Amino acid sequence: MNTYLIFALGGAGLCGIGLFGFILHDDLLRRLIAFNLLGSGTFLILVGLAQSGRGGVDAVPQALVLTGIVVAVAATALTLMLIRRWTQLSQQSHLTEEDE
Amino acid sequence: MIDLLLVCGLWSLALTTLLTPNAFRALVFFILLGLLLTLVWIRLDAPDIALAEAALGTGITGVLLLDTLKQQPQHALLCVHRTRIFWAVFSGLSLTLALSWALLQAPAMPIALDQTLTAQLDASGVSHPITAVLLNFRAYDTLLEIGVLLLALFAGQGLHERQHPLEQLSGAQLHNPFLRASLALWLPGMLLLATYLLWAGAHQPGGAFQAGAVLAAAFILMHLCGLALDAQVSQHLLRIGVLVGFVLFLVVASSSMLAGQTLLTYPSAWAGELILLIELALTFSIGLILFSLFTLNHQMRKESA
Repeated sequence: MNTYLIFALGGAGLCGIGLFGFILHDDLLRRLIAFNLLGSGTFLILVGLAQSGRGGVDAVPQALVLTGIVVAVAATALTLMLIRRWTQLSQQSHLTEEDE
Repeated sequence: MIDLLLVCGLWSLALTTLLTPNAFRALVFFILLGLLLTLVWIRLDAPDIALAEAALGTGITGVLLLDTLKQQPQHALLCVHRTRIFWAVFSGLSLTLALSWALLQAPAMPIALDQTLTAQLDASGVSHPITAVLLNFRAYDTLLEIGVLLLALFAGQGLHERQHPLEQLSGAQLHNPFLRASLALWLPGMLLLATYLLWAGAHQPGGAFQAGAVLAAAFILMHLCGLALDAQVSQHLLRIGVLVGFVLFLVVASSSMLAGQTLLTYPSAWAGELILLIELALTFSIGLILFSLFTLNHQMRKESA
Protein backbone atom coordinates (compact mmCIF):
# COMPACT_ATOMS: atom_id res chain seq x y z
CA MET A 1 0.00 0.00 0.00
CA ASN A 2 1.65 3.26 -1.10
CA THR A 3 1.40 6.79 0.33
CA TYR A 4 -1.08 7.90 -2.32
CA LEU A 5 -3.53 5.08 -1.59
CA ILE A 6 -3.33 5.71 2.19
CA PHE A 7 -4.41 9.32 1.66
CA ALA A 8 -7.12 8.27 -0.78
CA LEU A 9 -8.51 6.00 1.96
CA GLY A 10 -8.10 8.88 4.42
CA GLY A 11 -10.20 10.96 2.03
CA ALA A 12 -12.87 8.24 2.01
CA GLY A 13 -12.97 8.45 5.81
CA LEU A 14 -13.23 12.23 5.66
CA CYS A 15 -16.19 11.91 3.25
CA GLY A 16 -17.94 9.58 5.69
CA ILE A 17 -17.29 11.93 8.63
CA GLY A 18 -18.60 14.86 6.56
CA LEU A 19 -21.83 13.03 5.72
CA PHE A 20 -22.20 12.00 9.39
CA GLY A 21 -21.92 15.65 10.51
CA PHE A 22 -24.26 16.85 7.79
CA ILE A 23 -27.02 14.52 8.97
CA LEU A 24 -26.31 14.99 12.70
CA HIS A 25 -26.47 18.79 12.93
CA ASP A 26 -29.37 21.21 12.66
CA ASP A 27 -27.23 24.31 12.87
CA LEU A 28 -26.59 25.69 9.37
CA LEU A 29 -23.01 26.80 10.08
CA ARG A 30 -22.11 23.32 11.33
CA ARG A 31 -23.70 21.80 8.26
CA LEU A 32 -21.58 24.06 6.06
CA ILE A 33 -18.43 22.90 7.87
CA ALA A 34 -19.48 19.27 7.42
CA PHE A 35 -20.05 19.91 3.74
CA ASN A 36 -16.57 21.41 3.43
CA LEU A 37 -15.12 18.28 5.07
CA LEU A 38 -16.95 16.17 2.47
CA GLY A 39 -15.39 18.34 -0.25
CA SER A 40 -11.86 17.99 1.15
CA GLY A 41 -12.33 14.23 1.29
CA THR A 42 -13.37 14.19 -2.37
CA PHE A 43 -10.25 16.16 -3.35
CA LEU A 44 -8.02 13.71 -1.45
CA ILE A 45 -9.65 10.73 -3.18
CA LEU A 46 -9.31 12.36 -6.61
CA VAL A 47 -5.58 13.07 -6.34
CA GLY A 48 -4.69 10.02 -4.22
CA LEU A 49 -6.44 7.53 -6.49
CA ALA A 50 -5.04 9.01 -9.70
CA GLN A 51 -1.48 9.06 -8.37
CA SER A 52 -1.62 5.59 -6.83
CA GLY A 53 -2.77 4.17 -10.17
CA ARG A 54 0.05 6.02 -11.94
CA GLY A 55 2.70 5.54 -9.25
CA GLY A 56 3.85 9.16 -9.51
CA VAL A 57 2.82 12.79 -9.76
CA ASP A 58 -0.11 13.44 -12.10
CA ALA A 59 -0.65 17.11 -12.95
CA VAL A 60 -4.15 16.83 -14.45
CA PRO A 61 -6.08 15.80 -11.28
CA GLN A 62 -3.96 18.25 -9.29
CA ALA A 63 -5.06 21.09 -11.56
CA LEU A 64 -8.69 19.94 -11.29
CA VAL A 65 -8.46 19.99 -7.47
CA LEU A 66 -6.91 23.46 -7.57
CA THR A 67 -9.93 24.67 -9.55
CA GLY A 68 -12.19 22.81 -7.13
CA ILE A 69 -10.74 24.52 -4.05
CA VAL A 70 -11.38 27.98 -5.53
CA VAL A 71 -14.96 27.06 -6.47
CA ALA A 72 -15.51 25.58 -2.98
CA VAL A 73 -14.43 28.87 -1.39
CA ALA A 74 -16.81 30.83 -3.63
CA ALA A 75 -19.66 28.44 -2.78
CA THR A 76 -18.87 28.72 0.94
CA ALA A 77 -18.97 32.53 0.76
CA LEU A 78 -22.32 32.46 -1.04
CA THR A 79 -23.75 29.94 1.44
CA LEU A 80 -22.63 32.12 4.34
CA MET A 81 -24.47 35.06 2.84
CA LEU A 82 -27.61 32.92 2.46
CA ILE A 83 -27.26 31.78 6.09
CA ARG A 84 -26.88 35.38 7.29
CA ARG A 85 -29.91 36.51 5.33
CA TRP A 86 -31.93 33.61 6.72
CA THR A 87 -30.86 34.46 10.26
CA GLN A 88 -31.74 38.13 9.72
CA LEU A 89 -35.21 37.24 8.49
CA SER A 90 -36.09 34.39 10.82
CA GLN A 91 -33.86 34.99 13.89
CA GLN A 92 -32.92 31.32 13.77
CA SER A 93 -29.72 29.51 12.89
CA HIS A 94 -31.41 26.36 11.64
CA LEU A 95 -34.16 25.58 9.17
CA THR A 96 -37.67 25.51 10.61
CA GLU A 97 -39.33 22.71 8.66
CA GLU A 98 -37.64 20.06 10.75
CA ASP A 99 -38.83 20.97 14.24
CA GLU A 100 -42.39 20.02 14.91
CA MET B 1 4.09 5.64 9.36
CA ILE B 2 3.95 9.43 9.12
CA ASP B 3 1.14 9.04 6.59
CA LEU B 4 -0.92 6.93 9.00
CA LEU B 5 -0.37 9.52 11.73
CA LEU B 6 -1.49 12.32 9.40
CA VAL B 7 -4.63 10.39 8.41
CA CYS B 8 -5.46 9.66 12.07
CA GLY B 9 -4.90 13.35 12.85
CA LEU B 10 -7.22 14.37 10.02
CA TRP B 11 -9.99 12.05 11.17
CA SER B 12 -9.77 12.97 14.83
CA LEU B 13 -9.71 16.72 14.04
CA ALA B 14 -12.72 16.29 11.73
CA LEU B 15 -14.67 14.43 14.42
CA THR B 16 -13.70 17.01 17.07
CA THR B 17 -14.83 19.80 14.74
CA LEU B 18 -18.24 18.19 14.38
CA LEU B 19 -18.77 17.08 17.97
CA THR B 20 -17.45 20.04 20.00
CA PRO B 21 -20.39 21.81 21.69
CA ASN B 22 -18.82 25.27 21.41
CA ALA B 23 -19.17 26.69 17.87
CA PHE B 24 -16.08 28.91 18.11
CA ARG B 25 -13.93 25.97 19.18
CA ALA B 26 -15.35 23.96 16.28
CA LEU B 27 -14.18 26.66 13.85
CA VAL B 28 -10.69 26.73 15.36
CA PHE B 29 -10.45 22.96 14.94
CA PHE B 30 -11.67 23.33 11.35
CA ILE B 31 -8.88 25.82 10.62
CA LEU B 32 -6.35 23.45 12.25
CA LEU B 33 -7.68 20.70 10.01
CA GLY B 34 -6.97 22.92 7.01
CA LEU B 35 -3.36 23.35 8.11
CA LEU B 36 -2.99 19.60 8.54
CA LEU B 37 -4.47 19.11 5.07
CA THR B 38 -1.75 21.42 3.75
CA LEU B 39 0.85 18.97 5.10
CA VAL B 40 -1.07 16.09 3.53
CA TRP B 41 -0.94 17.78 0.12
CA ILE B 42 2.81 18.16 0.48
CA ARG B 43 3.08 14.42 1.25
CA LEU B 44 1.02 13.82 -1.90
CA ASP B 45 3.65 15.75 -3.94
CA ALA B 46 1.18 18.54 -4.69
CA PRO B 47 2.81 21.81 -3.52
CA ASP B 48 0.45 23.89 -5.68
CA ILE B 49 -2.61 22.49 -3.91
CA ALA B 50 -0.84 22.90 -0.54
CA LEU B 51 -0.38 26.61 -1.26
CA ALA B 52 -4.00 26.98 -2.36
CA GLU B 53 -5.28 25.01 0.65
CA ALA B 54 -3.30 27.19 3.06
CA ALA B 55 -4.27 30.50 1.43
CA LEU B 56 -7.83 29.82 0.26
CA GLY B 57 -9.21 26.73 1.97
CA THR B 58 -7.87 27.70 5.39
CA GLY B 59 -7.17 31.45 5.31
CA ILE B 60 -10.06 33.00 3.37
CA THR B 61 -12.64 30.37 4.40
CA GLY B 62 -11.56 30.73 8.03
CA VAL B 63 -11.96 34.51 7.95
CA LEU B 64 -15.41 34.22 6.35
CA LEU B 65 -16.60 31.61 8.86
CA LEU B 66 -15.26 33.46 11.92
CA ASP B 67 -16.85 36.69 10.72
CA THR B 68 -20.23 34.96 10.32
CA LEU B 69 -20.02 33.21 13.68
CA LYS B 70 -20.05 36.54 15.53
CA GLN B 71 -23.47 37.28 14.11
CA GLN B 72 -25.14 33.89 14.55
CA PRO B 73 -27.31 33.37 17.65
CA GLN B 74 -25.40 30.99 19.89
CA HIS B 75 -26.93 27.76 21.02
CA ALA B 76 -25.38 24.65 22.42
CA LEU B 77 -25.48 21.33 20.65
CA LEU B 78 -29.14 20.34 20.46
CA CYS B 79 -30.28 17.12 22.03
CA VAL B 80 -30.61 15.04 18.92
CA HIS B 81 -33.03 12.15 18.55
CA ARG B 82 -31.52 8.73 18.90
CA THR B 83 -32.84 7.65 15.48
CA ARG B 84 -31.06 10.62 13.89
CA ILE B 85 -27.71 9.71 15.50
CA PHE B 86 -28.21 6.17 14.26
CA TRP B 87 -28.85 7.30 10.70
CA ALA B 88 -25.90 9.71 10.81
CA VAL B 89 -23.47 7.03 12.01
CA PHE B 90 -24.95 4.43 9.66
CA SER B 91 -24.73 6.54 6.51
CA GLY B 92 -21.28 7.92 7.39
CA LEU B 93 -19.89 4.43 7.95
CA SER B 94 -21.52 2.95 4.87
CA LEU B 95 -20.23 5.78 2.66
CA THR B 96 -16.70 5.25 4.00
CA LEU B 97 -16.85 1.49 3.54
CA ALA B 98 -18.31 1.74 0.03
CA LEU B 99 -15.69 4.29 -1.02
CA SER B 100 -12.82 2.28 0.50
CA TRP B 101 -14.02 -0.88 -1.22
CA ALA B 102 -14.19 1.00 -4.53
CA LEU B 103 -10.69 2.43 -3.99
CA LEU B 104 -9.17 -0.99 -3.29
CA GLN B 105 -10.92 -2.51 -6.31
CA ALA B 106 -9.89 0.33 -8.65
CA PRO B 107 -8.96 -0.96 -12.12
CA ALA B 108 -5.76 0.11 -13.86
CA MET B 109 -6.10 3.38 -15.74
CA PRO B 110 -6.47 2.98 -19.49
CA ILE B 111 -5.52 6.55 -20.48
CA ALA B 112 -2.09 7.96 -19.64
CA LEU B 113 -2.87 11.67 -19.56
CA ASP B 114 0.39 12.52 -17.81
CA GLN B 115 2.46 11.12 -20.68
CA THR B 116 0.49 13.16 -23.21
CA LEU B 117 1.05 16.17 -20.97
CA THR B 118 4.82 15.66 -20.76
CA ALA B 119 5.01 15.19 -24.51
CA GLN B 120 3.08 18.40 -25.22
CA LEU B 121 4.55 20.57 -22.45
CA ASP B 122 6.98 22.41 -24.74
CA ALA B 123 4.11 23.68 -26.88
CA SER B 124 2.25 25.22 -23.93
CA GLY B 125 4.43 28.31 -23.38
CA VAL B 126 5.15 27.52 -19.69
CA SER B 127 7.35 24.87 -18.11
CA HIS B 128 5.29 24.07 -14.98
CA PRO B 129 2.86 21.26 -15.86
CA ILE B 130 0.02 22.42 -13.56
CA THR B 131 0.04 25.96 -14.95
CA ALA B 132 0.12 24.43 -18.44
CA VAL B 133 -2.99 22.37 -17.64
CA LEU B 134 -4.82 25.25 -15.94
CA LEU B 135 -4.17 27.96 -18.50
CA ASN B 136 -3.57 26.13 -21.73
CA PHE B 137 -4.72 22.52 -22.05
CA ARG B 138 -7.76 22.85 -19.84
CA ALA B 139 -8.14 26.63 -19.94
CA TYR B 140 -11.89 26.19 -20.37
CA ASP B 141 -12.07 25.06 -16.71
CA THR B 142 -10.28 28.18 -15.56
CA LEU B 143 -12.46 30.45 -17.70
CA LEU B 144 -15.61 28.94 -16.22
CA GLU B 145 -14.07 29.03 -12.76
CA ILE B 146 -13.59 32.78 -12.80
CA GLY B 147 -17.15 32.89 -14.18
CA VAL B 148 -18.37 30.92 -11.13
CA LEU B 149 -16.58 33.35 -8.80
CA LEU B 150 -18.30 36.28 -10.52
CA LEU B 151 -21.64 34.49 -10.35
CA ALA B 152 -21.24 33.94 -6.59
CA LEU B 153 -20.44 37.64 -6.18
CA PHE B 154 -23.47 38.79 -8.21
CA ALA B 155 -25.77 36.40 -6.36
CA GLY B 156 -24.41 37.77 -3.08
CA GLN B 157 -25.04 41.32 -4.20
CA GLY B 158 -28.59 40.34 -5.12
CA LEU B 159 -29.17 38.96 -1.62
CA HIS B 160 -27.91 42.10 -0.07
CA GLU B 161 -30.27 45.04 0.34
CA ARG B 162 -28.04 48.04 0.38
CA GLN B 163 -29.41 51.16 1.95
CA HIS B 164 -26.16 53.08 1.64
CA PRO B 165 -24.35 51.73 -1.39
CA LEU B 166 -21.53 54.25 -1.31
CA GLU B 167 -20.58 53.68 2.31
CA GLN B 168 -19.72 50.06 1.71
CA LEU B 169 -15.99 50.50 1.65
CA SER B 170 -15.45 53.43 3.93
CA GLY B 171 -15.17 53.85 7.66
CA ALA B 172 -12.73 52.40 10.19
CA GLN B 173 -13.69 48.88 11.21
CA LEU B 174 -11.30 47.87 13.97
CA HIS B 175 -9.63 50.36 16.27
CA ASN B 176 -6.48 48.39 16.86
CA PRO B 177 -3.23 50.39 16.76
CA PHE B 178 -1.12 47.23 16.82
CA LEU B 179 -2.86 45.86 13.71
CA ARG B 180 -2.35 49.16 11.89
CA ALA B 181 1.33 49.36 12.77
CA SER B 182 2.09 45.76 11.85
CA LEU B 183 0.11 46.07 8.62
CA ALA B 184 2.50 48.83 7.55
CA LEU B 185 5.27 46.23 7.85
CA TRP B 186 3.39 43.29 6.31
CA LEU B 187 1.69 44.95 3.39
CA PRO B 188 4.76 45.45 1.16
CA GLY B 189 5.79 41.88 1.93
CA MET B 190 2.34 40.52 1.03
CA LEU B 191 2.29 42.42 -2.27
CA LEU B 192 5.80 41.16 -3.03
CA LEU B 193 4.74 37.59 -2.16
CA ALA B 194 1.70 37.83 -4.45
CA THR B 195 3.85 39.09 -7.32
CA TYR B 196 6.44 36.37 -6.71
CA LEU B 197 3.80 33.60 -6.63
CA LEU B 198 2.37 34.88 -9.90
CA TRP B 199 5.76 35.09 -11.61
CA ALA B 200 6.96 31.74 -10.25
CA GLY B 201 3.83 30.00 -11.57
CA ALA B 202 5.34 29.74 -15.07
CA HIS B 203 8.09 27.32 -14.04
CA GLN B 204 7.50 26.14 -10.45
CA PRO B 205 4.62 25.83 -7.92
CA GLY B 206 2.56 29.00 -7.63
CA GLY B 207 0.18 30.82 -9.92
CA ALA B 208 -2.77 33.16 -10.27
CA PHE B 209 -5.05 31.60 -7.63
CA GLN B 210 -2.54 31.49 -4.81
CA ALA B 211 -1.36 35.02 -5.67
CA GLY B 212 -4.98 36.22 -5.82
CA ALA B 213 -5.67 34.76 -2.38
CA VAL B 214 -2.66 36.54 -0.87
CA LEU B 215 -3.80 39.76 -2.53
CA ALA B 216 -7.32 39.27 -1.10
CA ALA B 217 -5.84 38.75 2.37
CA ALA B 218 -3.93 42.03 2.03
CA PHE B 219 -7.13 43.85 0.93
CA ILE B 220 -9.12 42.36 3.83
CA LEU B 221 -6.51 43.47 6.37
CA MET B 222 -6.51 46.96 4.86
CA HIS B 223 -10.30 47.03 5.03
CA LEU B 224 -10.30 45.94 8.68
CA CYS B 225 -7.85 48.74 9.47
CA GLY B 226 -10.20 51.22 7.85
CA LEU B 227 -7.77 52.13 5.08
CA ALA B 228 -9.83 52.93 1.99
CA LEU B 229 -9.96 55.26 -0.96
CA ASP B 230 -12.77 57.72 -1.42
CA ALA B 231 -15.94 55.59 -1.41
CA GLN B 232 -17.16 56.60 -4.87
CA VAL B 233 -13.77 56.08 -6.52
CA SER B 234 -13.27 52.70 -4.91
CA GLN B 235 -16.76 51.55 -5.96
CA HIS B 236 -15.92 52.23 -9.62
CA LEU B 237 -12.44 50.73 -9.35
CA LEU B 238 -13.90 47.65 -7.66
CA ARG B 239 -16.47 47.11 -10.42
CA ILE B 240 -13.83 47.38 -13.13
CA GLY B 241 -11.31 45.27 -11.24
CA VAL B 242 -13.77 42.46 -10.57
CA LEU B 243 -14.63 42.16 -14.26
CA VAL B 244 -11.21 42.67 -15.86
CA GLY B 245 -9.96 39.09 -15.38
CA PHE B 246 -12.98 37.40 -16.94
CA VAL B 247 -13.32 39.92 -19.79
CA LEU B 248 -9.63 39.80 -20.74
CA PHE B 249 -9.61 36.00 -20.61
CA LEU B 250 -12.73 35.87 -22.79
CA VAL B 251 -11.26 38.32 -25.31
CA VAL B 252 -8.01 36.35 -25.61
CA ALA B 253 -9.93 33.07 -25.74
CA SER B 254 -12.30 34.14 -28.49
CA SER B 255 -9.80 36.16 -30.55
CA SER B 256 -8.43 32.89 -31.94
CA MET B 257 -11.84 32.27 -33.50
CA LEU B 258 -11.25 35.26 -35.82
CA ALA B 259 -8.39 33.31 -37.36
CA GLY B 260 -10.69 30.35 -37.88
CA GLN B 261 -9.38 28.28 -35.00
CA THR B 262 -11.36 26.87 -32.09
CA LEU B 263 -12.02 28.69 -28.83
CA LEU B 264 -9.01 29.03 -26.52
CA THR B 265 -6.22 28.32 -28.99
CA TYR B 266 -3.22 30.53 -28.34
CA PRO B 267 -0.82 31.40 -31.17
CA SER B 268 2.12 29.22 -30.18
CA ALA B 269 4.74 31.97 -30.58
CA TRP B 270 3.09 34.17 -27.92
CA ALA B 271 1.59 31.50 -25.67
CA GLY B 272 3.89 32.28 -22.72
CA GLU B 273 3.25 36.05 -22.85
CA LEU B 274 -0.51 35.63 -23.28
CA ILE B 275 -0.66 33.25 -20.31
CA LEU B 276 1.26 35.72 -18.15
CA LEU B 277 -1.09 38.54 -19.21
CA ILE B 278 -4.19 36.46 -18.41
CA GLU B 279 -2.71 35.38 -15.08
CA LEU B 280 -1.96 38.98 -14.14
CA ALA B 281 -5.56 40.05 -14.80
CA LEU B 282 -6.88 36.90 -13.09
CA THR B 283 -4.80 37.52 -9.95
CA PHE B 284 -6.11 41.04 -9.66
CA SER B 285 -9.72 39.98 -10.24
CA ILE B 286 -9.58 36.98 -7.91
CA GLY B 287 -8.13 39.17 -5.16
CA LEU B 288 -10.90 41.74 -5.60
CA ILE B 289 -13.71 39.16 -5.92
CA LEU B 290 -12.67 37.34 -2.73
CA PHE B 291 -12.36 40.71 -0.99
CA SER B 292 -15.83 41.78 -2.19
CA LEU B 293 -17.32 38.49 -0.98
CA PHE B 294 -15.83 39.26 2.43
CA THR B 295 -17.06 42.86 2.56
CA LEU B 296 -20.55 41.82 1.46
CA ASN B 297 -20.63 39.30 4.30
CA HIS B 298 -19.19 41.81 6.72
CA GLN B 299 -21.71 44.47 5.70
CA MET B 300 -24.65 42.15 6.36
CA ARG B 301 -23.57 41.83 9.97
CA LYS B 302 -23.47 45.57 10.43
CA GLU B 303 -27.01 45.92 9.14
CA SER B 304 -28.46 43.28 11.38
CA ALA B 305 -26.64 44.60 14.44
